Amino acid sequence: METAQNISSLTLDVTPISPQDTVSDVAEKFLAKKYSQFLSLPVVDGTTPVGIISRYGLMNIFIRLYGRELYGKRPIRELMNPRPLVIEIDETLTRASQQITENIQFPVTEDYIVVQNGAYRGLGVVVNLLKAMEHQVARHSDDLSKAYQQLQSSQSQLVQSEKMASLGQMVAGVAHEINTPLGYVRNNVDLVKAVFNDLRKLTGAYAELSQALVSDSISEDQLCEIMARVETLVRELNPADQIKDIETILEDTIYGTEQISELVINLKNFSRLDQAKLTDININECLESVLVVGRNAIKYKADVIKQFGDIPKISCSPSQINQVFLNLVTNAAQAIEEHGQIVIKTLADEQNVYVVIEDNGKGITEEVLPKIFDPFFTTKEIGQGTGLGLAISYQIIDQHDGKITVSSKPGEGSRFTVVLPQQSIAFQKTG
Amino acid sequence: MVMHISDETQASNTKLTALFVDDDERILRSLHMLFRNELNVITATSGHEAIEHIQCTPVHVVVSDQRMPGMMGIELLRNVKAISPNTIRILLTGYSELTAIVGSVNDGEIFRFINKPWDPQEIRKTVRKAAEIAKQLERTHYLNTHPLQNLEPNVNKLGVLVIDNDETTLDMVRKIVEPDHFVVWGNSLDQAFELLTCHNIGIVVSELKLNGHDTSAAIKMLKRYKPGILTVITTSFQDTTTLIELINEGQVYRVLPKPLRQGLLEISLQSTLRQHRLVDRTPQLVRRYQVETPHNKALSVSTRIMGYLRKIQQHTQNPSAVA
Repeated sequence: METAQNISSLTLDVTPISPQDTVSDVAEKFLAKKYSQFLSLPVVDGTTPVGIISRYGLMNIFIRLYGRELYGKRPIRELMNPRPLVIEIDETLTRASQQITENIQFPVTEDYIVVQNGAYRGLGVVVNLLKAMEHQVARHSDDLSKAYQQLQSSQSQLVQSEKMASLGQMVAGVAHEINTPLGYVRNNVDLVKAVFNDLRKLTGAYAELSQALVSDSISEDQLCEIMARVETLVRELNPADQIKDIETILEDTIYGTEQISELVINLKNFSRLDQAKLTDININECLESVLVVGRNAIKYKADVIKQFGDIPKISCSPSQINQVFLNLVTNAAQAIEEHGQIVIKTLADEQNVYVVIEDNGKGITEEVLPKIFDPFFTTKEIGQGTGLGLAISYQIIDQHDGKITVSSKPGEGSRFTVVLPQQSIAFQKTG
Repeated sequence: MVMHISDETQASNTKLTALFVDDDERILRSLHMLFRNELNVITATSGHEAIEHIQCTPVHVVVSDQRMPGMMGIELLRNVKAISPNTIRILLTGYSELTAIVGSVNDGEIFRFINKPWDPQEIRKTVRKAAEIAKQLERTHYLNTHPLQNLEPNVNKLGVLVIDNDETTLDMVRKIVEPDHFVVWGNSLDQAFELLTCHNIGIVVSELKLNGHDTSAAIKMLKRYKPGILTVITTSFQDTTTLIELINEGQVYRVLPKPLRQGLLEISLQSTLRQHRLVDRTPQLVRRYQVETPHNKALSVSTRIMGYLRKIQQHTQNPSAVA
């Protein structure tokens, strides 16, 4: 990567004119092929540039009738521009071009003289400087565009990793929730199996008995023996009680499988991985799903009070909206220190749907409040949380053309209000 | 508070008592039906309810869920240990939470961890074993309230073996334990186990990672061959499965996170030394630290270490043979 260029690379080695040279001498020089690109030639006395003479200037003389004859023998010193543009050789392209634009005369008829500590070094053509500047700008904008792309990609990486982190947390919580019903379902099936075996023994014994009762070949003693066996088994196995117990156990088992099923369904609903796909959905449903999936985090911390209003369906991306509400609800639970309350209210007016999530946790101080939606800002300890939850939630709601606001009182609690328009114009545009 | 059962009550109570604690009733119903034939089953849906039971009834085994409203499982088990130290404590976990598990080892001295969902045959085996051990502990009339007052001043020097590549651990342990006891250093497993055969080691302070290798297999094996040894694990490891296995299969006495803090190490070592003296005096207590034989995979230790282990076992059985 080149560092900022300076004008030394643009400086051309041009033999200067001495102030004593005549106008005719100078005119001759201009005709030479090697000077054909130059608008002007520098006039240098020793090593000090003292002026510059342009073709244009000479032309003005020679246009006049008898111009050459009259002025040809005069020293160029008399006709030169005694105040040329002089730029130090180590000047950057940017500064040089600044100086030039500030001082150049129009029409552009002169080049600029390049000096090093005041001593003549060469000539610079303005057009070349322009080209060099253009390259520099192009390079910068190239760099900027690359940097922007990188920023975008790392932002989406972060959003993704926050999503993964919150998904991970949620999955861990749900996994735990599932393990409990799974625990008793598994055990219960085993219990039923054991009772089933006992009952099989019993029905076997009864079958033997009924066969014996209709049999011709069986003796009285044998029959009594079989009956005694049945009685002993009944006493040992206690089928009546076992059957009653198993009835309850079976009810529990069915309940357990329903619990597992509910969790799986809600997990599926919650993480609908079809990204920004829009669906018409009732936010109350989203909130129900969020409460099931987030149950593990809330269960022992807070009582949830639902005040769901009669709200219309709105067009939104359910997986993203769910992510926002899960974030708000788990934040609320975390803000509560021992035990508390989370109130979730939904209502609507003609234009919008409102979701208010209020907790009576420790609240947010005035100095922290304006920062909470900032990316990476967190009040949690290192390693706990990414600090992106609210930032991403804010972004998601913003993309839905909505608003998310907060009010809080330290020691009393916080209230987050999410406003979602019923007609999302932004989404409709991008589709 | 001392739990003391009279001989008459013991004779009439052929069934041992187990207390199950979980906030989900269905879990309790299920466990009740599983154990009611072989044990007296008491259930509680909260820590507080459980403590009420423990205070009025002798309970041999308590099995508690971790996540409950009010009092968490490990807190309950810590309280149980204080009220009824002979009650064997088992924690039922639905998910692995490192702080809970580490806390439970150090404060509550958990006998076993059982993951939800459990295997009905496995849980029966575990609870049965726990109940048996509890019964034996009961018989020893083991007093826990003021153990130091009941112990003679320590005459024998105990050996503490430090297994760690890091010499600072050795220095820290030396500062705490010398001159009352002696400290030896094993910089490798071979070295450590050789030391175990020549010295009467009572306590092992070991890193889980030595020269890049996992030492947990060797530690678990050691516990099987010399159950009287108490192990303190020091580790920067964060793997809950390893820790759970170390409890279930190795009955480690304490787990300390690295970097080691002098204060915490001191408290832990003093507690370990005390416990060792107690166990030494009451050999039946060793049963409390009985370990599980892992059924799903064999413990792999080198043949050299196996050789050392057999020697150690011989020495344990024949203490006069040790230097």
